[in-house]
Amino acid sequence: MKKRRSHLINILENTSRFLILLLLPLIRALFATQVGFYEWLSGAWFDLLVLGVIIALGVYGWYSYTYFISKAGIHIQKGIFFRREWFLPFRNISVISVHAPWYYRPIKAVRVHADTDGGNPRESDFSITVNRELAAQLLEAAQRPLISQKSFRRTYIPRNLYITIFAVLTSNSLTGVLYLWATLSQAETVFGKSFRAELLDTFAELAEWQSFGLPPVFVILAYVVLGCWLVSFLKNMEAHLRFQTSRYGQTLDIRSGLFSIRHYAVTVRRINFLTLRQSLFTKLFGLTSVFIHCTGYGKKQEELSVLFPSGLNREIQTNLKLLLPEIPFAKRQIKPKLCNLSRFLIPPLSLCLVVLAVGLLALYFISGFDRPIIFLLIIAEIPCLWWLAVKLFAFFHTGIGVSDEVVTIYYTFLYQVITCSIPKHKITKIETQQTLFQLPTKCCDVWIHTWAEGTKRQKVLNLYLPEVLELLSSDEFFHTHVIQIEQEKKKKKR
Amino acid sequence: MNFHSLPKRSLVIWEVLAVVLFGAGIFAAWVLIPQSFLIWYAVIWLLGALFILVAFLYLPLLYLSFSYCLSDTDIIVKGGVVFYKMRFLKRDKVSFVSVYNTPLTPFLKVSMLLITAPGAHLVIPFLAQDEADRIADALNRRLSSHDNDH
Repeated sequence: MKKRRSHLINILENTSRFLILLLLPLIRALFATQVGFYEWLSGAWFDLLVLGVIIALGVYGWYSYTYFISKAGIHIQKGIFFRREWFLPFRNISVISVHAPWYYRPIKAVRVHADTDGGNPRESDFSITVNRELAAQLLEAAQRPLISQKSFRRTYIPRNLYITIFAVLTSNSLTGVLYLWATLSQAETVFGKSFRAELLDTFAELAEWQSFGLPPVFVILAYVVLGCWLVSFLKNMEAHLRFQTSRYGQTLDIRSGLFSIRHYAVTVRRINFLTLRQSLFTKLFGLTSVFIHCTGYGKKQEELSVLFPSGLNREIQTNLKLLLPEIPFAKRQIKPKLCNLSRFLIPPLSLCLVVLAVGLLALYFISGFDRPIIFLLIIAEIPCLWWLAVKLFAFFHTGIGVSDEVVTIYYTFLYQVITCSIPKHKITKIETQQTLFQLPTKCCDVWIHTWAEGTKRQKVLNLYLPEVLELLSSDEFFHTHVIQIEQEKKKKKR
Repeated sequence: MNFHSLPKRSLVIWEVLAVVLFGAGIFAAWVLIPQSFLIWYAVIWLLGALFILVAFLYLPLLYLSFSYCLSDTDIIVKGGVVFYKMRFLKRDKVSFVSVYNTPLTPFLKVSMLLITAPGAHLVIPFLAQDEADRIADALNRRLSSHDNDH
């Protein structure tokens, strides 16, 4: 087999890891300002040597990383002095992703990642930058065993409106802050500190002009949050425009991106579970987003493991039956008892009261700042009340359902309303937990651990323990003897 | 199906560890806090009360509540005082089993068993050494005889 190397651009990628060495010439230049130009020039060989070492390390990294594709999988070799060889069988690969960033498109280079259920949970098992044609060959070789001759392609393309809704829902200010921070730091390095001062002055003027009678600090804060959210929204839009999901044989092809194109080939039998996510707003409008959990998909930072960005409930149900009939949803069979409603409401109610108490105390003790304090109090109470509404809804949503193929769990996490369907063979561990407060009402929390690279578990709160044991025992998740022992204990107590 | 308890020497080891830990706490307080201060007496009383609670209530209850069982399909571990948990790990999902021994194992005859599965793990601490080896052997035998790929 002919060994292959990555694209030549990989040399540049490798050198970026060693750019820290450029600090050495910089430190020398700082000292040289005291001795003069000619003395600095006489030691220029050192700077050239450092540059040479950086380039040599980049070339070494490129030269020492080889691979070849056989019928069975990918054989990889890394290193010359410390050699590491490993083999990824195609049958074990869960996801192959091909990412073509916009700046690589002119040189026809793409980044390829392949992942299995083992290995490092934070990194792909195989990643390389190669020509577009080679990536296509690799994808074709990996998918060949999964596509029979009778297979035909079924594709779902969401409307741009749904993608916009999805981008609105998944954008958050924190991502925007991080992105803007990185951009501004770079801009300051390039244009100098005067650029930053000028930017801040303009911003302060704008805040004073559009303050709507509020203190400028709140207006600046509001603009920062809004601006960062907008950046995050635009990034999400760019990443998910032209989204499409196709089912072909035993693979799911997921493509998206306007400028930077992403292509994922997901092996269907390696999908660990399917999740429907809604907020209270989308629930009202009958909209749902669908995510899958499969090792290697959604692993990188700012990458979401989305299957359908969003859509009307009925539309989503139909498309799921068409594209992923292996993972259906089971109806909710057990739900929390009415006596446990308080367990859902006490945490958010307490938070609401604490925020209110803090606000009233601030109003009582701090004089002259009534307006800003009331403003802050209202701003702080809104998410607490919203959480209370979500938890109230959670009481009617929470539960577990079991069918022949899957276990479906219904729960809420923060502000999200989640319905998750897990194929039975993907469940590795089930855990029930009771606190001292839960003992009198026989209420318990259920943790379901699923197949994953690291630990992956989901929690359903406040279910009735005998019902949980009965439901899951009938399904051979719990051995029947365990139930008998529990029943015997109860009889003895009586 | 038989649920097994931990060996009685586990409780003795826990109690000894508790004595050592609280002894270290009292020693640290003796070194760091001047003895004439009120805070010194408060810390000593607090540590003493905590020790009595832990040594005479929490640890015995934890020992009594803890049990494990190896069925044909599952490994079941129950236990806990404040948080009572029942853990069910499917035997056919086990990836590998580790038995942890320390330099004190030959004297104390206790080991820790860690059963790892994809996305989950199960720990049985302070297990009798021969029992830990027996469980590990049983699980490993099954691993080598079955293809674990799903």
